[in-house]
Amino acid sequence: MIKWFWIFAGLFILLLVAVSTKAVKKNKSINDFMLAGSSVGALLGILTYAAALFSAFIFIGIPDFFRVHGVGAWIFLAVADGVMFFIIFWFGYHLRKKAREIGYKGVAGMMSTIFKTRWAGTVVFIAAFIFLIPYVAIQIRGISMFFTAIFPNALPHYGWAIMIISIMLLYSEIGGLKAIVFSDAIQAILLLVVLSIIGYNSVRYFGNVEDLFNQVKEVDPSLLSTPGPKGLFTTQFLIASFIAIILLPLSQPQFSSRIVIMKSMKETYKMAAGIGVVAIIVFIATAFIGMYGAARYSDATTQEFVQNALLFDQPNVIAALAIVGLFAAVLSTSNAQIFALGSEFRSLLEGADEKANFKLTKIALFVFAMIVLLTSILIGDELVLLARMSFAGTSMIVPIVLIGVMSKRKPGIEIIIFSAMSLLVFLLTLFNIIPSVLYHVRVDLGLYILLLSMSVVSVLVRKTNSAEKQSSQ
Amino acid sequence: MKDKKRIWTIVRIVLIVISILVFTPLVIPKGVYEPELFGMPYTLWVGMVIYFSFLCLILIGVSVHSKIFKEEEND
Repeated sequence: MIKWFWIFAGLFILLLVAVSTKAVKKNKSINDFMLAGSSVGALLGILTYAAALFSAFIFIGIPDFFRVHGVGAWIFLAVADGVMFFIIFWFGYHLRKKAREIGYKGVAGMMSTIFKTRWAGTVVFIAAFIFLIPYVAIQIRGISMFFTAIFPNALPHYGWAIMIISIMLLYSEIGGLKAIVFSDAIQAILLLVVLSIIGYNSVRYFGNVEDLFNQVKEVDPSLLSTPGPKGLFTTQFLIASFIAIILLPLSQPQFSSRIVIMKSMKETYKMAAGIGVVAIIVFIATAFIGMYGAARYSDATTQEFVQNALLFDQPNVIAALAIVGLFAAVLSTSNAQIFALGSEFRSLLEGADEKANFKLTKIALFVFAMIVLLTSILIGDELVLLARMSFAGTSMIVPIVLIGVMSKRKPGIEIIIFSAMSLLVFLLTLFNIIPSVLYHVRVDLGLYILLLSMSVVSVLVRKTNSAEKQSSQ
Repeated sequence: MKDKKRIWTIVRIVLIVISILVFTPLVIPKGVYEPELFGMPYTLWVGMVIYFSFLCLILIGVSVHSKIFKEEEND
């Protein structure tokens, strides 16, 4: 396996160097560097969006989620993602239209312009900062621990984390978003190939799909329905997760920016449809790998399950490819998110000196990467639940983005206040200062209902006021 | 154009209706895994059917949306 690992790792590094060099040659302006020249085609768009979405969270987290909590994970992930792909072009059309009208450097800056106050952009940036950092950090930690277990004599886990961050910083600081998009494409292809093969092998081990599920039934039949053995997949949990996931194109800047950088709306349509097709392969493969784990490694830890299912139970070539695939997955997802934070930071900077702002952005990227590194050394191990927390946290600012993009007139400042307060309440639930369930209702679900009601009222009242003003003139 | 707008409205309504049905016992009955399909438990195969119906809605939606809202940029 080690021989194959070095071959694939060498090839991967060579490809990274090649794409970074290509990106450097293509980058002629700051816009090229930060927004990949806004000229990404459909195929590259599908792969970069898939890479940003299907990270270590999908590679390790979701199979383990199926293994521990059962088939309800399909509703949690696939059903929600299906609607999210629809929102890519539905909302994407309006986002791109607004971006053409007022310009685009990042969602935060765009919101400051639309709301005519820096507070709008600041709240959007704070939400992204607070919730993306732990999400990136947990992925780096997961992979670092994994590598430490496979290569016990090579590096300590923080050594792997430093290596991942250094490579990521090196090529994103040199090649910008274009280099990231190209590396995303490599990662997405690797992920698709590896997951498909391991998913197929997982079924083949038992003979066929029916035998796989019969085995799971013998181990624990509660894995085959909701709410699952640990009772996680309650209706409220699934609804709240569904809302958080379908809103990702609005709530997380790495996804919004991937819609804006598409060459045209035609390519965006193709991207939305294409990613829907590609994703089904990933979802089915992760479900089968998870069920394989439920049948064979029901009492194992996450680490033991991942090592066995992805590596030791696979032929050497596939195991080696899986290690490189995991490394690529964490690399591309981390840099997608850290770079998105850098873009958001840049979009908030004022002053006409673009070069000075660009320098500041590069420094900010470095600082964000260091914060991620430190967090990855200190953080806990619950990959999927931390990812879900990240999705839910950033979704609290969706009213700002949604109303900002869709509204024809200046939206009310109350939208910013609602979102900021919801963000604060959600944070307080995470620190157990406020209970996460109040009067039998999950607080995040309650916040969504409140935010929706308040946003509707705000839009209707402003619409009525504006109509009255027009008729009185 | 009128027909396309009607289709676009229907697509969005169907998307919302299916999304609501997902969270009812029709798709996630508590503790029930039968009837099975090719050995797969009920919630999983129905979830797959739902995903494929979303995929169909995306394809229809993309087709009509692109004709209704022709973008002004150079396609």
